[in-house]
Amino acid sequence: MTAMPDTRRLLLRALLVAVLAIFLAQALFPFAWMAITAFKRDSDLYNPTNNPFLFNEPPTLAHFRLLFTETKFPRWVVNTAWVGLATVLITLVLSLPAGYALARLRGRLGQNLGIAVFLTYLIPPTLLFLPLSQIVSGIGLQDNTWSLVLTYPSLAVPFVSWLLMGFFRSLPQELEEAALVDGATRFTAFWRVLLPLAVPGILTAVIFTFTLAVNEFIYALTFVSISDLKTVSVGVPTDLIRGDVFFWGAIMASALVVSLPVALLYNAFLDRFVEGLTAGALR
Amino acid sequence: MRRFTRRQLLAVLSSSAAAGLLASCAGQATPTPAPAGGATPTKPPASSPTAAAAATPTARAASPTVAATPTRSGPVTLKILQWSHFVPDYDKWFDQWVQEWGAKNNVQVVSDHINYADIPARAAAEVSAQSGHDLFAFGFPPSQYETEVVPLNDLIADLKKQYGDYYPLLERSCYNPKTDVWYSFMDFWAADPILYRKDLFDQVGKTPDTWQDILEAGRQLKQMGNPIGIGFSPEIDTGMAMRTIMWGFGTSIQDANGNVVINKPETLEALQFAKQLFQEAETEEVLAWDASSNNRLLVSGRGALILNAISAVRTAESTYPDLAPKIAIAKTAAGPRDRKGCAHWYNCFVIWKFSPNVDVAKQFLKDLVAAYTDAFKASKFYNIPSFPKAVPDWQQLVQNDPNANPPDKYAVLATAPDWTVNVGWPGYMNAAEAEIFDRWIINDMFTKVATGQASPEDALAEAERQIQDIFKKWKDRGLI
Repeated sequence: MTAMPDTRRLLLRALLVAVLAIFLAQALFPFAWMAITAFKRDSDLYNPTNNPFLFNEPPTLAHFRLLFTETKFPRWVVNTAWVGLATVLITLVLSLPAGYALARLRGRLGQNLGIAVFLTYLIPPTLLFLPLSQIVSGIGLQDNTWSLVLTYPSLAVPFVSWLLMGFFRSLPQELEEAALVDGATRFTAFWRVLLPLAVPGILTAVIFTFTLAVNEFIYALTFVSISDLKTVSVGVPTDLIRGDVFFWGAIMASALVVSLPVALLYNAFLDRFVEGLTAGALR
Repeated sequence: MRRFTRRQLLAVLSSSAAAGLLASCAGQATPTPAPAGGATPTKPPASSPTAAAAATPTARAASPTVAATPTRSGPVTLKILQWSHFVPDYDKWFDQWVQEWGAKNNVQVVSDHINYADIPARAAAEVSAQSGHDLFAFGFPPSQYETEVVPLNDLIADLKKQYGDYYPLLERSCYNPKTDVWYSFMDFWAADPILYRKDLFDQVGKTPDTWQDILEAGRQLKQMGNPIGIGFSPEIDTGMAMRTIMWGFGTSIQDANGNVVINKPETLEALQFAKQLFQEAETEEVLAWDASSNNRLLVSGRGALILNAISAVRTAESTYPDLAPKIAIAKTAAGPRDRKGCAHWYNCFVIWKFSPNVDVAKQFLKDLVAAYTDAFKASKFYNIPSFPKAVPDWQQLVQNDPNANPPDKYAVLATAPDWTVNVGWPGYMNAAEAEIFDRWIINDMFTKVATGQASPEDALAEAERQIQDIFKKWKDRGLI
């Protein structure tokens, strides 16, 4: 009588492991490929008779040397970090109150406003970069990283506001009402009661916004052209793709250096991230 | 305790955020970005070839045109944007040279580089914003921007006086006979020869001199696992190769006077040939190619022949030392009626109308031409000068490259001016030809026939309809 359930449980477990293994391989393959290519010698990398997944010759740091000594990569990383962090800050300052307000605005007005905010997220940057370039030039921010810091929130704020709106809606309104009854102002209730509970949502917003700022290309290309001020997303293709010649080793080294911290960040806050993304959906 | 309403809370937060942002912006109001490239040298080299011309730019830099520039104090800043050259050493040479030029002429020069594929987006943004670089280099004649740029007729006249005749390619790529405007200046162009595996062609007893030779050899080479590598996809190398085939078969999009003449039997013949080439000598991978795919096929050791600039061979020399000696360079292939091929790169500088430094920019271009012997060498023979007398011995230099195996590998480049023509040949390059190229209309026509999606007649009729519309549009705008 007990053999059947055990077998079934084992089969289910095997199926689960197999599915997880497929997802794991899919998730890890880009990193493995980046790492292998970044440390491979050119003579190994470009030899079509060699196994591309193995080190057929001893590994090398030559691509990292090229990246850090022959290009302005360290500077681009600093620029990217500054632009990313500033974008996160501005996005949070705007989206936290916006998300909270939308969550608490009941009725048709709140719904319509929420949809309107989300619709602006659907307008692609490729449509906006020309008119925005006029604005950036008009306020004298051409070739200045502030042009990115001020325009990137236009990409992040709608989605983050929407995301935080869902998260705030999942928090019981009774908590802040209790605070208001105890004499707290609306702001105090928001700051002291709701924000500590909203940490998973805020972390999700931070990771999303930072990743968006690191990945963004078209604004970074059109608003900043001075080499010292470029971000990684523009600097790397500029210096490591020359005409139709690709410096694959160094390109992969740069991708590895930039993506590892973000991947670790995701990993460190994975449970919170999932909680933040799904909280609104359960309400 | 005072209670905030929801509206008050939002108002306070919004105004706080706005105030913070404005304060931050004010702190950055006067950015002082460092120019790209190396440090500014304090002393120009004694043997500078631009010495004779140096006095002029200094005087011009102080001319009222420049001095009247608003918001500027101190030396003029000349901003230049061009692609990241495939030879990194050329960019190093250029960036150092511009700093030396700037120091000599009391001009602060900012030299920026971007990936070639990003040039159109950047150009569109600069025109939209009416600000950006003074000198902007395209890789393709920017005919569609004629109304946005400063005419360079006087610059060309001065250069012609100094260096004599230019290659016809310069005029046919940068001049509009309808408006009598030189809208750009091409300091160099790159040839697009045939790069082929000599060892493989020797095995089948052929040389790729004609398109028929390539087809016949390709049939056997494909069987050996070494296909021909000419793209049939929406990318620039395909656009060039298909035009080269058309010219070889005696057809073109327009005639010498700018009339659309593509609908003729020779085009159908070219389409039939390309279909055979694709089906009998190539593999289906060429349908999904980008501009670098043919390079990769060649250096993988699998490809037998591609049409490309010498960058693919230079890459092989630096990264595939065993393969490089097997790669040979040949003239563009002859068709039944002609031997003409596209240039691979047209380095066309424009000066935007919004530039406050027009005279300085023109002087820069003159002095760049004067320095072209060094530029040609730094580019490893990639940059063929538009004014041959700017590098009088360039055709001798390519005969012997000590780094090449054999040393005369690049000798055929000396003949490139004879068989390299502009996009739009036998007419002038114009905005319609540029749009047709950008929209891959010729690529699509050939690909549809090669893959059997359309008959040659139908594909040609569809392409002609689009081409006529585009020509009409630009004729209505007065640019053709």
